[in-house]
Amino acid sequence: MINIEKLQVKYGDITALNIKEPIEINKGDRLGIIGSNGAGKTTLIKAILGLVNFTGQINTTLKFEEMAVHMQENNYVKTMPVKFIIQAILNTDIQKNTRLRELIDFFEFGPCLNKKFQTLSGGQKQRLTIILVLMQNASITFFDEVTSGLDFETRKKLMAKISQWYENNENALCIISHYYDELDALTNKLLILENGEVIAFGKTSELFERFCGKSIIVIDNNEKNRALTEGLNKIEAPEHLIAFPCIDSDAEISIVTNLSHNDVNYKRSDNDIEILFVNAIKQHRSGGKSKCTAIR
Amino acid sequence: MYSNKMTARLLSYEIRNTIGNMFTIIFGVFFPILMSILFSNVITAQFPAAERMEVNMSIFLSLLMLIPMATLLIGYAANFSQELENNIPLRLNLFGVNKQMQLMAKLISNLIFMIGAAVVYTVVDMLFIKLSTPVIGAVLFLFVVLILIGSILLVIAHSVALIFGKFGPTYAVTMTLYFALMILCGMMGVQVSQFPPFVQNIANLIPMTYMGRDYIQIWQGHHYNITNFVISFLAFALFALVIYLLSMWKTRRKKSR
Repeated sequence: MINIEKLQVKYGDITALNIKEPIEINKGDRLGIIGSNGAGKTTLIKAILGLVNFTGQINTTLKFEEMAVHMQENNYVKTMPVKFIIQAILNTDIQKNTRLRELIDFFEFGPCLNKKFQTLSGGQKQRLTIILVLMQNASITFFDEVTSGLDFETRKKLMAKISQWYENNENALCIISHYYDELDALTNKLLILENGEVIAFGKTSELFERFCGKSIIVIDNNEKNRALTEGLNKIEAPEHLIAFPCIDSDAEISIVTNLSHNDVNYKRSDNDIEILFVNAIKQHRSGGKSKCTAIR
Repeated sequence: MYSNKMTARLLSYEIRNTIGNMFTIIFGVFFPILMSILFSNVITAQFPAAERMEVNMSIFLSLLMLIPMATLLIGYAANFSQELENNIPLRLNLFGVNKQMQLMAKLISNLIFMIGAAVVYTVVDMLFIKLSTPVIGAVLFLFVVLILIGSILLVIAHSVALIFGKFGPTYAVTMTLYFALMILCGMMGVQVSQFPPFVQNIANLIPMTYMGRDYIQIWQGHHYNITNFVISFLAFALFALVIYLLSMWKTRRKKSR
């Protein structure tokens, strides 16, 4: 559906994006795009949508109108209630459009229709754009940090709604997020960017195996646990955690038995995106020398 | 979803948007009315009674030209540049409402507003200032002229806002243009005939010059050769077209290279 080759975006002298290997986004893909601030995530979306100058190739059969996007910031005029904005953008009547009414009900937006945009809360503003974006029913939809700035409860609820809406939906979905739980719930492929370059691209399960092993066991990073697990192979993990890579079930059982015996709480995962991400970044920064050495 | 044509809902949205802009209402409706009543009372008192109606007419027609300039040049540019700062036109574009469709809806809604403002201005002035009754042809001519001048001014304002993308420089440029047009067209107290010849040549390429100076002849049903007036429209429209094409080029969506 979208094929990207040798894409380069520059802002003045700064190279914001430099994709060397081909990237392909296909029908039905659920792609998560992750990276630190300034990694080039939003720039990539803008290049695909033709909003920034670039060199290289973005080959697609899709027209711009067949792509939908929820930008980081979405503003509307403040001169009228949002129901008129919805009706003008979608060129439809809310009362007569069953699908739109269904979406409004689904996102519990009905009570907001007579309010002006500036009086909506952060979550309500996000839901307004989500409704408009989903009504486009585009072949591919980009969500750029939809939930940033929202409280935990609203964020969880919103992502659950989007996840539910996209069940059994064949359209492709691209999500930029700093929340790994969101990516975990909504995506099955990842594109990891750093300083404008692609660190890794592929199915989450394959990338996990490449950077972390078959599975990982995670425990709290405290003095007792550090002493207990000294000498064991570890992989990169957030500061408050210690992560052990496992190459197979036997390795897993060996660690888990040891931890249980010492009364240590643990978590097992074969898809932890945060740990996958930090290890991909670490490997990239060390020039690919820091390979995962999983426990056998 | 959208096809590439204007819709009644988009037009209704833009009308609400225009009416919701207080700046346009103040400078496009109240300001010309107050100025014309004030000027009429202050200035006509200095003329003999026999000449007062003609002076009133001159004040009325000159300040009538403030309406398209205040609403479609200054007011629109201020409103649209603030929308651009908030990426609202881009947001609409990403929803499939293309730029030309947005411009068309804004143009029609603002013209409707401007005609409404001109009607209110005329009715109020007729109640408070002694004006001669125009011939019907002059009213139709005025209607067409207002639509054409308004359209050209809006395209200029729209393009300037697109080129700069921000309220500050857009407002500065349109304000400069506004005062330059007022001076060149003889609305600031100095007659066009008092300018040096090269400035007069420039002034003669602006339709508002003819409205302030010659339109009274059409209003009163006298014969008037409109050739130079038509040429001024073509020149003014060409100026707007060049700026518009520049703005379209600057804000185009990029394709793979």
